[in-house]
Amino acid sequence: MRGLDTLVAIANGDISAREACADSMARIARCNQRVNAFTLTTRDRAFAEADEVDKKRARGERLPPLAGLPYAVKNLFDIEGETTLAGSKVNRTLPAAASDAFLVARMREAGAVLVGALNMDEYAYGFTTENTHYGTTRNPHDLTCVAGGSSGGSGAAVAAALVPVALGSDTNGSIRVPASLCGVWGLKPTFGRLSRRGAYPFVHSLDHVGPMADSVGTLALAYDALQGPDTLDSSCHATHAQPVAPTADAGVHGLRIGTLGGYFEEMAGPEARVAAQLAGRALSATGEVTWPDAELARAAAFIVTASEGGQLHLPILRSMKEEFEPLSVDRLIAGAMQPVAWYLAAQRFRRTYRERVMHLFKDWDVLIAPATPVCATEIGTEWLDLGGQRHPNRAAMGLLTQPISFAGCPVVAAPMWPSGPKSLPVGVQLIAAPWNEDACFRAARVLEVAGIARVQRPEYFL
Amino acid sequence: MTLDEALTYVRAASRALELTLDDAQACSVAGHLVRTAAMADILDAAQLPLEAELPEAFCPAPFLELPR
Repeated sequence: MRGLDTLVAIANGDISAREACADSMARIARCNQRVNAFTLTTRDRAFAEADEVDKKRARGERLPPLAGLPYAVKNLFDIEGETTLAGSKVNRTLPAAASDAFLVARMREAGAVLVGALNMDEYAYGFTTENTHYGTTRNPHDLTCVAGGSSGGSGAAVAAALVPVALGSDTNGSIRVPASLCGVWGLKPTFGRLSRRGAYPFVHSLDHVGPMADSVGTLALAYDALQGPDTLDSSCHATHAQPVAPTADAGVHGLRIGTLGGYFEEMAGPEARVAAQLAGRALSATGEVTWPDAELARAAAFIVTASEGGQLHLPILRSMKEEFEPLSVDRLIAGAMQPVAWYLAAQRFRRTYRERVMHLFKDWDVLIAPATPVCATEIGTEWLDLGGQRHPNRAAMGLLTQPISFAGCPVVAAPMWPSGPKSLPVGVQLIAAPWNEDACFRAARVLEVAGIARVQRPEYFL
Repeated sequence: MTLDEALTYVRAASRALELTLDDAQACSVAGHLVRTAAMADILDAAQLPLEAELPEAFCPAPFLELPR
């Protein structure tokens, strides 16, 4: 049952929250072994939360917006009583979290039911969720392929219908890449929109958190529930919630929509280009737009990420580097050693870059670009050929997302099927100016209603 | 930056950061640095204006209105 159907069924009393929770738990037990999305199930807590919802309904109380909806979180979010792994082996020795992360607490207040924690690239440094400690998360649409990352467990869990909603984090594309490769909806909100308190950090200058879901409606309801100021998180800049669910069905009339060309075409493979064209046609995009300094922004994002990520883990690298993920430890070390001149140039560039990007939105409301250069690649793929150039595959998956998040713009990733329903998905980014998430959702909903973008349950998991 | 130059840099940096690396790992790290150096070169060529400040990374405590 889809997320919205589950919410309606619970609200109407057709099923109980306990039944919805049991259904999700049963699917996880039956299917998770194939995809390896979950690293933890929180059975006791889940049933306790579901029972709270059922008691509320029995008492005739008004139900909160996500009453009884099962969900799971990338294992970098604090869950009270559990150790926050962040995909690492090193963190196993840390004490259990004393309280829930801010967003987990918001989901609980909204009535959602936490069923577990999800696999990820170690410390969120990767785009494939090939995790040596906890195993690779496989793509539900083709088990020989990656699910994307670093929120790969979140993407795979939603795609395999183990949960209708999952939370992830996105520093350079870590929500949008798995959303693209797994064929689910994802939101990377404006930088600073949602509180990061209780989410294990990777790059303080770039970390975002957000939801992934099986429909635009579920994504909007989850996002609205997550919103709100957090005075205890200095990186949370939102002073009040700006709900998107009430306007998601407003259509795109009046929105100026364009498609990004140049860098975003050159770095996209054929399927990704077709996906962007299909979305552009369905949204009546009126022109091709050049995003300023995309290649520079990608370079700057790469440098900032490596430097801050490397520095963050330097104390533990000194004593326990053998315990780190072999696929990323040398990149972390290289980042820790980067000359400060590189880092400062990248940060100073960010200021002028933001101004140039903001200038673009004087003429446009929504911009379309592919989310990943290609569909999901086979597990273990080392290199990717794009535009006549050879790129390291694990880094290249973020080529099209990094320039956008470096400017802090909100993006909804929409699941497209450019080669037909039996093929692999690839996502498009629906990008708006900072704090204009509502425009992304309006465009997303038009694509969903038109049947152009949709979540499609893989045959394995019917 | 050549791989050899990067390797020399990595060996010096590993001492400065007290991060011991064996030869194989030092080579691998140097390879990553060479790739990143190419990106840094692109940024260098962009010639940022003098007035390009760092983006906000730190805010002081909220402004306090003192009683008169």
